[in-house]
Amino acid sequence: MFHSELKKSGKKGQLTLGGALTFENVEELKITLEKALGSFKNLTLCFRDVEEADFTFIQLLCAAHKSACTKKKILTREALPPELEEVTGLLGFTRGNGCFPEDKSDCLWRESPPGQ
Amino acid sequence: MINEQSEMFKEEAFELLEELETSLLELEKTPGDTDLVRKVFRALHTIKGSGSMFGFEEIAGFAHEVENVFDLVRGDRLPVTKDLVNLALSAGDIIKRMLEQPGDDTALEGRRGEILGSLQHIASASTPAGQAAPTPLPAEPAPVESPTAGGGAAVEVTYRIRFKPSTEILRQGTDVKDLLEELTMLGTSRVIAHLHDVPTLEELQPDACYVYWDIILTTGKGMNAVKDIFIFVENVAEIKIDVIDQGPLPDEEETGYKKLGYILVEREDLSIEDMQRILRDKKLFGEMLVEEGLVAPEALESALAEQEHIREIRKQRQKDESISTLRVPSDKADKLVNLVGELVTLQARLTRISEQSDDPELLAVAEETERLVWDLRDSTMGIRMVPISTLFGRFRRLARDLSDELGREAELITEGGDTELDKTVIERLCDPLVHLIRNCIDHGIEAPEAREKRGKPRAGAIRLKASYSGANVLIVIEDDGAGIDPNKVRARAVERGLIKPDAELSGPGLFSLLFEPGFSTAKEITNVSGRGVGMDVVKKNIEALRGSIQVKSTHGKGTQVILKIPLTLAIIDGLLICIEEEHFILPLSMVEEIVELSREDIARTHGGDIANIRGKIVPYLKLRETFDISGTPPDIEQIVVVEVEHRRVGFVVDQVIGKHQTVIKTLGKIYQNVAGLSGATILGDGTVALILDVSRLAQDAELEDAADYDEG
Repeated sequence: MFHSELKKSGKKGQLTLGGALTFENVEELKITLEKALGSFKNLTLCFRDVEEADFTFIQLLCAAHKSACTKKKILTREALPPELEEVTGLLGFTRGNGCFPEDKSDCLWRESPPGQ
Repeated sequence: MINEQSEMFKEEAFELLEELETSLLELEKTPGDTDLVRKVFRALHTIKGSGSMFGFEEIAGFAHEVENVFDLVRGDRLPVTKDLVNLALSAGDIIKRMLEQPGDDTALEGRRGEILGSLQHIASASTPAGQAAPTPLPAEPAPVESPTAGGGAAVEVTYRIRFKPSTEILRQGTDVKDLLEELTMLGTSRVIAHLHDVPTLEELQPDACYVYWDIILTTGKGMNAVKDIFIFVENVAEIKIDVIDQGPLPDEEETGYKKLGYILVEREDLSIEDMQRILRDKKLFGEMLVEEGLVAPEALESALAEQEHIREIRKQRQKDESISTLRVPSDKADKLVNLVGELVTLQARLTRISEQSDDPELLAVAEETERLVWDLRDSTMGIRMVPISTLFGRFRRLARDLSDELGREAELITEGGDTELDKTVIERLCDPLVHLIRNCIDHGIEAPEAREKRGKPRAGAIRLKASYSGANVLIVIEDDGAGIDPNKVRARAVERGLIKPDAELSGPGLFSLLFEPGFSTAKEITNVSGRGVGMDVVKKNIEALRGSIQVKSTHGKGTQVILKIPLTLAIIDGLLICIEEEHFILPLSMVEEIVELSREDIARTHGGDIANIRGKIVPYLKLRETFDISGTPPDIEQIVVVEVEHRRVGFVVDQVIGKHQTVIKTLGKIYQNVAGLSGATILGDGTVALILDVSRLAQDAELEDAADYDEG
């Protein structure tokens, strides 16, 4: 099971995710992210009590980031907990440059995340 | 050359078979472990591929058939059952026999057919109705490469791997994280995910994969090991593996790596024309490429990572070149040890000559040579040291099969597998340990129901532990079974006339009778044990290694057998002693102390052959009498006190000369069965000194002592 909480903080939104962020829950996670991105122009992702995370979740966050970029919205994240840091490192997501040709500085997995 | 390659294949295949067996035994315990299924599959796949390449077609064909069945397992179409594990273990045994005895063997062929028949039966029964059996994997040989270069040092190779899965890969149950983790475990790596095909959240099918990877991996495990990781995804991914760096530096000055542009062109991420055009500008090359939209930022990042990785690897290689591993045939190592042995003998001669001369320069050279030879000796002996885990691994299968056969439940637990022993010692320990483990299961561990009645867990535990103890290694085999009934041992010993009915014997002393030829307290004789043939042979084998064996047991609770084995057999530290002109060597590790024995001391005990050392009585053996050496003993003799099986025994000699580096030479056939001698060595003056079999002599001393006691 995963858990989520969407909060408003000023004009910004804050989506907190935790639990099993894995293949089994990825459909529901997608819906949660879509709702959160639909509700705010500026959304920050937070992670609490992450038990497990896999590739599907990391890819899902990439897709969410791409959606945000194309809609001129801002999606940032707080520092990753060790569980997620390990997975992103292992899967080769961590990088120095941005991932979009349009904006070479922007990527959710940049070692110094934008917005921080 | 072909023969050499065949031998290399055999060596690799034996290792793979060991891996196969270990994985199967683990899989039996955890049938859902997909990593283990992969390991089994991989071992069979590699045996098949290598076998085919080196002309072992029959082995390749057989491995291929077994592999097909495990293809069903990995596809979740066949469960892991005990029957399947049994058949796969038997298949491994057959491959081993085919490797050991190539050629026609009708019985083996029959057994092979039976196994394949049974495997096919299992496979067909488990394949869903209407679904055809899976197509066998193509029979072309898997590419094989030697993990060593020219039979020498293992070579670290850097691979560029592009792993481009189809979108379907996740739906087929592949966890790319596990796959990449397994890959990166092979060595040093950089993983770069290409994310530009990831769609927006709205377009994303969350169970599809839109990412592909570049992995720069430096490993000494060889191309096969890298390819093996992808065995299960070959059909759902594009996999491109290129060697981008290997072997020693091409040029000492060129510790850098290819320019960025060349990497991108080589990867087909950039055309050579665009590269040349961009180079005419003066900005940073990578920056210009991204600005021009010719290369995606992550393609650039990936290429930069490759460049950086190779630079680091080359720098590291410069540092580490002396720490690489060599794979040397054991006969070459044996020859080296023999040569070092000769050198030690020669050095002793040089030392002796230098001591006799008054030439200080010669003495200095001799001392320096001695120091170097001792260092060389230690280093050479170190080469022969092998972890005992190589031996322990073989017993898991034995314990499993025997438990099944005898209706027992027993688990073999090993500890101290990293304890190292001389290769020869390890080889010669195998048979005695097999016998002792068989005994544990056959006589020690009770039937599960009986254990429950006694308040024990159904499954018995057999512990096999190794640890260092000075110049020796202690190997303990213990079980939590029924233990040995001392009354039965005593009764049997009396019945066989080994002890008198009123003899006061208990503990290890009593249990040492178990090592008497033909001694057994088992009611039933099984084909496993109980014939009384074996424990005496075990003891003989352990003593042949200059080791000792001791049994401790608590009736109803369990038994412990302790083996004390010297670390090495080739060269030992000895104590040189003499009687008249005859020289003998005692293993120094067994010597506790040396005390004087005067004629008055002898008179005080009325010829009782015992000495009172600090209030403790120590029986002694006069070696002059044992070896029937004529002449008159000196007024003051020496007692060399040794410890054997936790008892102190003395050996009376004329003179103790001192410590001696003893290169052990085996005795000729005529002398091999002479009691009390375990070998010989050559002294500095060219004469021969005999090496005493201290355990055997102590045992004889004890028997004589016991006989005197009984008669008295």
